[in-house]
Amino acid sequence: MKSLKYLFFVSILIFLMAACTDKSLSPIFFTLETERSLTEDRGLEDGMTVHEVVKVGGAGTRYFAAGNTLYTRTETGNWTPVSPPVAGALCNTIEIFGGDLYAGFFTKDGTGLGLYYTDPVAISWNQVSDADIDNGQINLLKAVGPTYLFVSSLKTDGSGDYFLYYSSNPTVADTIDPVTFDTDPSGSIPIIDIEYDGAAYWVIAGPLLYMGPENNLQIQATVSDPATDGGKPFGGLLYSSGNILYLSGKDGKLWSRSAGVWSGATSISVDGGVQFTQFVDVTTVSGNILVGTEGKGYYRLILGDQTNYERRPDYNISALYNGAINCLFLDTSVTPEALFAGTMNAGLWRADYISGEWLWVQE
Amino acid sequence: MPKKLIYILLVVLLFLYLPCSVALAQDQGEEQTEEQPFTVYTLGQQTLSLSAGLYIPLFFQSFDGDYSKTNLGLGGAGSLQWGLHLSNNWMVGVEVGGMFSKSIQENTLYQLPITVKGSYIVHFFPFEFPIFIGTGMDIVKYTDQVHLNWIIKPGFSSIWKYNANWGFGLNVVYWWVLQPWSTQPDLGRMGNFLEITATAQYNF
Repeated sequence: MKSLKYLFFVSILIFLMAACTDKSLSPIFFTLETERSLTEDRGLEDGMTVHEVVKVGGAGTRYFAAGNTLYTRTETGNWTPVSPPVAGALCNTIEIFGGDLYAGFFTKDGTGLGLYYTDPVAISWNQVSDADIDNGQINLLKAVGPTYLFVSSLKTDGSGDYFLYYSSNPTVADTIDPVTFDTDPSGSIPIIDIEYDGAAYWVIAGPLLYMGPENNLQIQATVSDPATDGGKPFGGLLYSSGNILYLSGKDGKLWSRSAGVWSGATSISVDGGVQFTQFVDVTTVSGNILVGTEGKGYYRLILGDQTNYERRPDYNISALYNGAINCLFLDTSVTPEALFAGTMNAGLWRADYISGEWLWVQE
Repeated sequence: MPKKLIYILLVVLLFLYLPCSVALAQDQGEEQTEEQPFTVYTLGQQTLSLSAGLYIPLFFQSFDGDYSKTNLGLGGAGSLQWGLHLSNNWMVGVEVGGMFSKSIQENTLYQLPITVKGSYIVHFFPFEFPIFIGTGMDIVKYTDQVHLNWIIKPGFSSIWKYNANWGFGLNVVYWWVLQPWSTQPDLGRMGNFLEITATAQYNF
């Protein structure tokens, strides 16, 4: 009788072991056989957090990475730190606009220091002078639409609320104007992303989605559909080269809008528990759209179809496969094309597109 | 490691090892003029063995015959074995083992084989040379992926009998792990590994 019990439990164990095999992933020995070294060691720490990566072209071509410390490197060089405008200041937002590098700085205790700009080659910081931003804590910088730099900052009224501003030339004093919402985002809800689809601006703030006409940034109207489940925030926006607007949610949902219509049938719930973040359009390289997650790497939407997706990278690149992606940046000006992924506590990764694959290394 | 070198290494190990051990045993036997005790196993006697040592990843082979590197470094292996003697020369048993080894991407491969084993023991007191083969299931784990594969483990040992109960020695065991892949058969591989471990054996 005892031996039968042991046989039963061993059988259950065998069954459970067999059930753990994920047939959607590659087998172990084949995965090991195709492994390559991931370390390229360009001077960044493996466990650092990288919020944003941008590139400036021209005579002084170089990359910038905001990883609390601001770093820069040339296309072939190693990363070196950039001195902040205030000693000890940290940086989490950067953008290239009008040939200048814009960066939001804050102190180690989280106090905002405002928005600064500099020539990207000859670094010499100047603060953007505007009462609306002043020494606010910047959480979003994005060059969107024909001629605007959008800035999201904590309001300087001490309310703890975030607001959205825009300017066509922030280097000129007091040229930053607020975007007007029909219902202001409140309750300390950060402005997460903004995108332009050729006719209107779209803004996401927490679980709120806004849309406003191109010719009047003074009106951003709330859009009630699509919406996330349970009041969870949206993750990111992308207007692709294929003229499709993509929207992600931290409830695991992905939406697309084509020909001016949100299609309810295209919104899906993916692998319950996935929290989507920012997109990147790599259709010109591989034909796909990529979207980051908080803790499950990124997903590849094959040929831009959010109903045809797969989790990436390969599971043996475990730091990135299980990583929280803060940003995805595509550089098509180099050969091979390069894709950067900034992560939370797992460093900065770069993939080169070779023979139809993104081959990842850690910088 | 080139496969031919591996085969040569194994054959050399086997053919240098056994004759040397036998010669040493015979030399000792010739020097001894007095009658010496010798170990005799009878049906029902049992053996417990604990082993630990080095794990050497050799190569992968596809089911089409192509060889490839493992991209694994040297690792560690260990096992616990229970054996039941059927006669002075034959023993059957069960063995639970384990190994770990790091890949070039700094991930760790784990294997846990559970095998049934049959041994033929060659006696040259105070030495014993079990030649054995085990087969069973192997739980293979690498990051998020777990497989259950079939494993075959042929090998040999050299045991010095310290006394009637205790013996100490060395194991050389070949691990052959079959990992077919039904959804994409060309991704299936056979893993080839070598275990060289020290062992302590208790007979009761």
